[in-house]
Amino acid sequence: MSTVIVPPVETPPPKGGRPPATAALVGRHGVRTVVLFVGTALAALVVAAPIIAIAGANPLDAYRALFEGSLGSQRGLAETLVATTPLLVAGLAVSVAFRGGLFNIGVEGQLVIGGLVAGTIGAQATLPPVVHVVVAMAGGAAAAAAWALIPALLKAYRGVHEVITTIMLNYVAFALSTYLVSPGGLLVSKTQPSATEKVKDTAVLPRVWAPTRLHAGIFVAGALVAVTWWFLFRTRAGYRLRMVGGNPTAARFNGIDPRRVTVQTMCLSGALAGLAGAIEVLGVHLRYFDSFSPGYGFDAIAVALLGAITPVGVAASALFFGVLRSGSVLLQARAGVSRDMITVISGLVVAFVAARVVLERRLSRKEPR
Amino acid sequence: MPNGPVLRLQGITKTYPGVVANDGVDLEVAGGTVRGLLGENGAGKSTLMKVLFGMTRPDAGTIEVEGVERRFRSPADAIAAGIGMVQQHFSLVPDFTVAENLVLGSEPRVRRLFIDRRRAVSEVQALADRYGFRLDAGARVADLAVGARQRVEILKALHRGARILVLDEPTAALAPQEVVELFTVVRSLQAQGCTIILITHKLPEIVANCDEATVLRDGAVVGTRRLEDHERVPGPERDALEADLARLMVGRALPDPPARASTSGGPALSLVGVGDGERVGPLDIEVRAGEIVGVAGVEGNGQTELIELVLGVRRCRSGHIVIAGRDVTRLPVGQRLRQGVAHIAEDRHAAAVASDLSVADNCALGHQDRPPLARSGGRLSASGVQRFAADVVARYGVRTPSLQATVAQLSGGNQQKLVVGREVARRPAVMIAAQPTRGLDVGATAFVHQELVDLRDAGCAVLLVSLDLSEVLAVADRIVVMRGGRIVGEGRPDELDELTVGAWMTGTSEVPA
Amino acid sequence: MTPLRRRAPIAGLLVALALLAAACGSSSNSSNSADASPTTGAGKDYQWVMVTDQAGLGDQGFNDLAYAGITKSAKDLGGTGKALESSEQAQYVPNLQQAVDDGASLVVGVGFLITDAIVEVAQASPNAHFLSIDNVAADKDGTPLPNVASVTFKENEGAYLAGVIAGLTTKTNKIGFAGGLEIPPVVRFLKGFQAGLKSVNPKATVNVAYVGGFGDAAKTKELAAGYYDDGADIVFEVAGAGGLGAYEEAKARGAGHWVIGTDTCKDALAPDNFLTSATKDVSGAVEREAKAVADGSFKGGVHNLGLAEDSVGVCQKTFGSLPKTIQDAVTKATADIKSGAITVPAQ
Repeated sequence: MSTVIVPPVETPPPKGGRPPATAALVGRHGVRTVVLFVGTALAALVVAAPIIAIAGANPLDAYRALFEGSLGSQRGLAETLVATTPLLVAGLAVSVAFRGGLFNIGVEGQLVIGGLVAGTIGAQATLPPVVHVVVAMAGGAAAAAAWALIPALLKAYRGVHEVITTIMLNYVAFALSTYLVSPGGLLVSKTQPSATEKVKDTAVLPRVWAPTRLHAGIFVAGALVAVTWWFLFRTRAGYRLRMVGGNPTAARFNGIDPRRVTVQTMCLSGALAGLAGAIEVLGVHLRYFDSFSPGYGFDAIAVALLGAITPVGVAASALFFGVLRSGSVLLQARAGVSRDMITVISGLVVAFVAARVVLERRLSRKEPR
Repeated sequence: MPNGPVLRLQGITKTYPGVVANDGVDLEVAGGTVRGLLGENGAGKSTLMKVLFGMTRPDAGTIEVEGVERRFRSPADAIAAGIGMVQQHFSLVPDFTVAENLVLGSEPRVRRLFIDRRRAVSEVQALADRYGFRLDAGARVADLAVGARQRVEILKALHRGARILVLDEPTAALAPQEVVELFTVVRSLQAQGCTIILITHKLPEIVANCDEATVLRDGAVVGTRRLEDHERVPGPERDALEADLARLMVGRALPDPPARASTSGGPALSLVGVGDGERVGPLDIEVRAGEIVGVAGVEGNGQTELIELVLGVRRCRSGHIVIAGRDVTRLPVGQRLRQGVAHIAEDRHAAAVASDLSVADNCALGHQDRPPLARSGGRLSASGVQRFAADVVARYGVRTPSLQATVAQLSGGNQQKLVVGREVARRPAVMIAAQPTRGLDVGATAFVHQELVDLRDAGCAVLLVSLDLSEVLAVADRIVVMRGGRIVGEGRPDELDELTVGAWMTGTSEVPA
Repeated sequence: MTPLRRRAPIAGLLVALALLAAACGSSSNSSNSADASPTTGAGKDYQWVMVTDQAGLGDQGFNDLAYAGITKSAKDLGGTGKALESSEQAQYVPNLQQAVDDGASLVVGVGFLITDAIVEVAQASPNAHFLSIDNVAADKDGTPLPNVASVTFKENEGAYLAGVIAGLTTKTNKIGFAGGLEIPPVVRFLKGFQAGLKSVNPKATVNVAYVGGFGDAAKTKELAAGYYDDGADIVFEVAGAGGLGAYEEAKARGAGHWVIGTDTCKDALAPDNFLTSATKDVSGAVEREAKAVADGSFKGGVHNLGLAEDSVGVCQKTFGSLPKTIQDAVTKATADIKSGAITVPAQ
């Protein structure tokens, strides 16, 4: 039965003042989101502990190595941020699609396309500094958006479920990129198999924290968090996107064309995915390697879910996954724990996020209506 | 049947975070009686019934059935104790026959493997006949009308051995004739010793059919009243009784019923030969400025499609739609809305709100492209949205924890108030109000009716589509009746009575007019 | 060598279950968890460290071969040996850097995708010693780095000997070549093989096709089946872990269907069908550079190893069971190559 939580006269907190921006930042159940985030992460680490012990290492030593390796030194910190960057941007791509009611499983393929095109522009074009890197990134984003346009149009105008099409197009993207950098391929490097030529210096995202690998991509990613937040919550297009995600029929009855918004959303998600690939190629590898992504686009789904699909939440959860990834180096070197353990912990996080969705549903069912 | 209490609830208390849904509720129901349970949305009726049916456990209090204290951990326990519930939303398998639906889970078997259909049908038919139900046990549920489906639900509860039957808003979706039939069934059940608890918003139904009425407000019982036969006949005593119950429910006196329109202006919405080529039309409807036209009809007779045609979400295959002097037949939804159309959706969850989005975001829907919500460069003014939402929430008394709360956190009545407030705030030239009071209590219903009347008085053309005939008769200045996608009757409410309109609606022949 | 990429995190759960199962089942299966457990030998506290590619240890290929060299170095020269596994391209640099920071005496990088990373870390740590296998670590101008021993092999020389064996074995004079990717080392195998074949059997022909990767056993099997159907009686596989498919196909067809392998002796895969392998002593190359570090003679630059260094050849394990005439022909060709009487083409 319904809730008389606040009497109607006391309800509006208008005062004409600014809206509580923090509420939108952290999400609708701010505190709960943070608690669930920390809880999920901790639960994964706790459950992984006995597995580490069974694998023959001391879990406490392992976690000490994990956090020392990822946060305890300049290089560790820098590597954490390097690992965070692609997850963060790809996580934003997944979140934006989620917000718009779309499950973009094609982020991985779009990311590969973005990386390939950015790497090619970086290696082949001759442009002045700054311009070159910007054009390369924009090219990667645009190519990935175009790649995402295919499932977008199929979804909007033919009702083909985007999960199917985006998964399928992943394989097309993998095969296409592999083909292009195979021996004799159109884009393959003369000296490095399965990769394009090195990008020119003008197209490199500069390193920003010598002597580490930390590159300007982290700033781009940070800016994208802010821009994504601003777009979703401070523009009419973002509002339409969220409304179509919330209820496409209600949106349609109120003059918003869900099909157009769906196409825009998927392309935007694709563009972000492409940027993730472009940043990784131009900042870390300095050329497109066929295998540069270990599955950022898939991990991004976990990142987005753990971050409750809010931009700031995604940033936090990308950082968590970044810690795991960069900490795994010392975990291996010092604590003697297999690299697979990081995959295990990530997998547990996914499992707990899934469990959390069930839990949240139960929680909200207990709430009065 | 002995007249001792068959059901006794004592001190039932149930709190949810921040809300006391039931606050020490005591309820005693005598065997073989019909008890009405009244209350506004949020008064605690549903929580109480969930407790009774084992769907939720109370924090405190006891349940006694036929003198035995019971603890229900699930609906199965409640069913075993002889309690049955018919909810607003039916839980039937449309592709199964009536008999199959009833025996689901306890099918008579042939050699333990095959369902004995013939025996199922004969068993069920015997049960139906015993209670005097007009029902074919071999019919497919999908082919049945809403009223008949409801009888199947009742029969299902009886089949499971229910002696205490809870009916939750049973008349919400019924045509007048079906309502009559329902209460015939209720009386027949009563005669056979069943105890019935009737939850409804509609005071006349309580007054006409209950032995006693209990009113809940803010989670507590505020009064129980025995109803005498002489109070059931129309007259001053009945009016006083209804006013009394209404005051108990709402905690204040209700406003007088709205007045009819005196004058109306030129046509604001005209449909000429409009149809979608399959479910509706061709039909002609004209709504003038300053006029409420009520569309009556049994559910599924083209009303939904009519609304979709007017709004532009359904393709118009024939005819012309003119809104405020402009032919909008080929225009998309957005442009029609800009012509001054507002829309209260018949199913708010399907077409009016996004439950997972905030109250503020939902208030802004449809207003986002105009100042003060819209800002230059495609931006959305967050403060504009907040101010606008705060205004809607305050003006329409939407009870919400905050503007950032999701709409899912609101009660149905408050969600509807939000939608009404949002749509009225468009200051429309044409208002399409579909089932605007579905699920609302008397107080909220009166409020919505007043809003529609105020709109009309301000010169708005209102098209009111409702399955609740009494609503249409009470509010509309002119009535059209739809059946099979066509207009089958038209008139002014003072010239028509419920039975005439009901005959048009159902297509039965006893048409006096 | 195509890495296991783009796996969903769901895989993590499976790995977790698998690890649990493995741990519960037996404790003897330690080959995979040996990745980071140090192997201790007597003597000085050298640290011999290798960084794997994404295939990791247990790949029955370069990673395992290099790790064998690491283990042997620790045993023979003293110190500890260990492997850091890279699960993604972006981890090469931090893993190499970690090895340097931990004071590694020699850092070995494996795989054809790690070269950029070796160059990056080697330039940043000019005092550390590196070994790059199969690839030349060079600066921007193409000058090999002085602190990286870039070991490449004369695969063509070993393959020449395998060609001799094939030419004297084939009855149909048809031979199939199943390569992984058309990259330089694979091409060197092919060219050397063709030259050796022609030298003893001018009528024999080689059909050439590529699988498209180094991990696709199913495709390799298909390719081998096609060759055998076409009348070939020998298939030369240079397909990495995917080469397995060729042995399976030959085994299924029975005696008279031969397979020539690469890198190591692979007789265990199909004892009756294994003819020989064009070997490549990766393990020995690691030991060689480790020894150089230990005795202070380590030198950067390109080290191109061939028959003269005993770094390539044919499988010695099964050599004795070949017909005497073939053994003699191989011995003669070996001597001719070493003396310079024969120059084996590389491309």
